[in-house]
Formats: sequence, structure tokens, C-alpha cells
Amino acid sequence: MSGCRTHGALLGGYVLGALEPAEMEAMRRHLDTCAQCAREERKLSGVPSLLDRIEPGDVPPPEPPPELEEIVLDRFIRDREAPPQRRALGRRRAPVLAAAAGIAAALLVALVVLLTGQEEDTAYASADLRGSGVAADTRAKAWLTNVDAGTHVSLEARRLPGARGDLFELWCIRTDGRWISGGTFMAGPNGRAAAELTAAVAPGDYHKIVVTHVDAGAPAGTRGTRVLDGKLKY
Amino acid sequence: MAASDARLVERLPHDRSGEELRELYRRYSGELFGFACNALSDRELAEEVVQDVFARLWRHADDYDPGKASVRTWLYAIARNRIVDARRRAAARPGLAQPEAEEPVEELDRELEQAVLRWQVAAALARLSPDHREVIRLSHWGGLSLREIAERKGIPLGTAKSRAYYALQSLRLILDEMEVER
Repeated sequence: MSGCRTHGALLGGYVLGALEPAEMEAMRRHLDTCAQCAREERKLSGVPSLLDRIEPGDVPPPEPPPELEEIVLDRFIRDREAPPQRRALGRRRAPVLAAAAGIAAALLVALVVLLTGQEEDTAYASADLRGSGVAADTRAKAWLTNVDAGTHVSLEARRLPGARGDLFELWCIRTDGRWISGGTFMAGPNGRAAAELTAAVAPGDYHKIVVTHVDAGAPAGTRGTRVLDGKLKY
Repeated sequence: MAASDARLVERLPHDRSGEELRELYRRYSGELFGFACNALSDRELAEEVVQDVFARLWRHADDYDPGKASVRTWLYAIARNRIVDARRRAAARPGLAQPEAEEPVEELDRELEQAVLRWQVAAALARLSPDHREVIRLSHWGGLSLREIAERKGIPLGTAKSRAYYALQSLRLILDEMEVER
């Protein structure tokens, strides 16, 4: 404890205010005369006021979900795999434009739109899609970029239900309730998918993205079972 | 020997496998997430903040100057900005109550500082042994004396007293390790 043979055992209880009244008083007097206990008491005395900052229910503190690590790593690897061009593009944009004028600028814009991993720098909105029901663990992130044909959607999904090769369809839900398809994509191994799609909607036309599982044998024109949805964040 | 934070950040631009980033993630994601949860009271938004912090970390690793700040301080500064953005977006969402006026920066920073401190204290307490945590819980929040704790737990009073001391001492050490003063 503090090394003090007579009162060292009381220090913890004293700092916590958890001794009997007579012991509290005895300890208070003792601290005036014992340098060892006084030093130790100074060291510990700030702890209760720190404890006042929290509630017992705050312990243990919230932990990030385990899948977040893989999501972060996936983004990193995708970023790494895509572009030396990407970084160079961002940094050297001005000289390139100055040198090559209109045609190069148009090419540059096209590249910006098309390059995988570029979406976060050019997207006007994004959406975190979450699963429900049988697809409760499914997660996806979509980045939306404005293009001439409408909206380009870069989608990354994890834990899609069903088997590899199953078909999914992405929808943009317009504010008037109409569902506009952005096209279909297939699940890869382990329920993962990375898809680049285009929907005929403009920014402000729609507020939500939905992904449906295209049921095998379902009649043409049906939407399938909803597996993911998420609202747009601008 | 484990690489220092600064060394890991220095290697990030050449990290093809993601191992350096994974190590940094494992060191800091917990506290950044706890900080963001405390500041935003929303787990989903906190997840986004953590993702964005690490995305910014690898994209701007070249800009990191160890002479100016520790990696931890840098990450918290990024997280702080992301949290401010997230709050502004949430406040601007239709249907949600609009704040009367924008929060002054100093007040916001104070609030975020408190959010970090809350996470640190909770995380430090979580690292104590169950016996040590319980003696603190029962005495500090439960208002019980060590005698009452000894009776309730069926342990000698001397054991309750030594647990109280060692619990406080361990907590102080963990908090010191986290650079929590006071």
C-alpha cells in the first residue's frame, strides 16, 4: 500500500470516502503527520472526480463492430489498387489542364468519373445501406456521382444473402415514390460485391437507395426481395 | 518490438498489404469510436466517423509531421472535424429540430474534450479486474462503506480495504498511461 504500517490499509477507503466516520477522521489527522500516506493520497485523490464524469452504465465503453475493421481495410486496399493515376491526377490537375486545353480537360473529367475508388472525392452524396429481415447483417455503401446519363452509383456490399452469382438490383427511390432501376449486379465470393451502375435520376430527384435480391424464376418486371436500403446523405 | 505510431504512419504510403493500417486501426479505432459515440450519441454515425478518420489518415499520411503532434492527437483532430461535420449534417436534416444558433467553437471543443475524457475513464475502468471494478462501483456509485461491501460480498474487511486501495492504484496507473491528468 503506501508503505505506512499503521494507516496504509485505510488509504483506498479514505480516498473513496468509504471508511467508517471514525476511521475517516483518524486518517485525516494521520495525513498531516505521515509524508508517505500524504504523497499517496495526493496521487489518488483525483480519481473520484474522474469517476464522477461517467455513469456505471458507461462501462465497458462502446466498441466498434468487428466488421468495421474489414470495411476500413477494404477501402484502403481498393484505394491502393486503383490509382497511382488518381493521386497524380488530383495534384497535377492544373498543369495538365493548362497544357492540354479542352480535349484533355474532357478526358480528365471522364477519368475522374470512371476511376474506381474516386467516388469519395467526386460524389455529391453517399448512402449507408443496411439490411433487414433475413439480410440483417448485410451492409453496403454507395457513392453517387452526377453524370450526363443521370447518377453514377459506386456500390460496395458485404454479406449479401444467397449464393455467389445471385443477382441483385439497385433502385433509386424518387420523392414521388417511383422506383428507378440502376441496373443489376452479381454477388461475388463471400457475399461481397463491388458494382458500378447508372440510374436515370438527377440529384434532388430521389432520397433513398434500395437493393433487391432478384428471385430466381420471378416474372420479369418484379422487383424482388428487398435486402438493403439507406437514405442519401448530402 | 512494436513499431511506433509515427513509424507506422510513415510507412503507410508504401503499405501495399494494409498491415500498417490494420495495426493503427487496432490501436486507435476503439477510442475513436468511443469518442465519436459519446459526442454523437449515434453508433452508425460514429462508425462513419471512424471510417473517415482512417481514410483521411492513409490519404494524407505524407502530410503528417511528428514534430507537430502525436499520431493520437492528429487522429483526434481529424475525428473532431468529422464529428462537427456529422453534427451539422444532422442538424440540417429536414424534420429534425434546428439549433437556435450554431454552437460556439470553444464550447464545442470543450464538449468534445469531455467526450474523450468520458471514454478514457470508462475504458480505464473496464481494464480493471472484476473484483477491483466492483469495489469501486459499490463504493463510488453505490454509496456503500467498505464494511458494507465486505458483508455483502462475504469477504473479510481487510480484503475489502486492500481491494479498494489496489483498485484505485491500478486505475490511476491506467489513466496515467492514457495521459489523463487530474
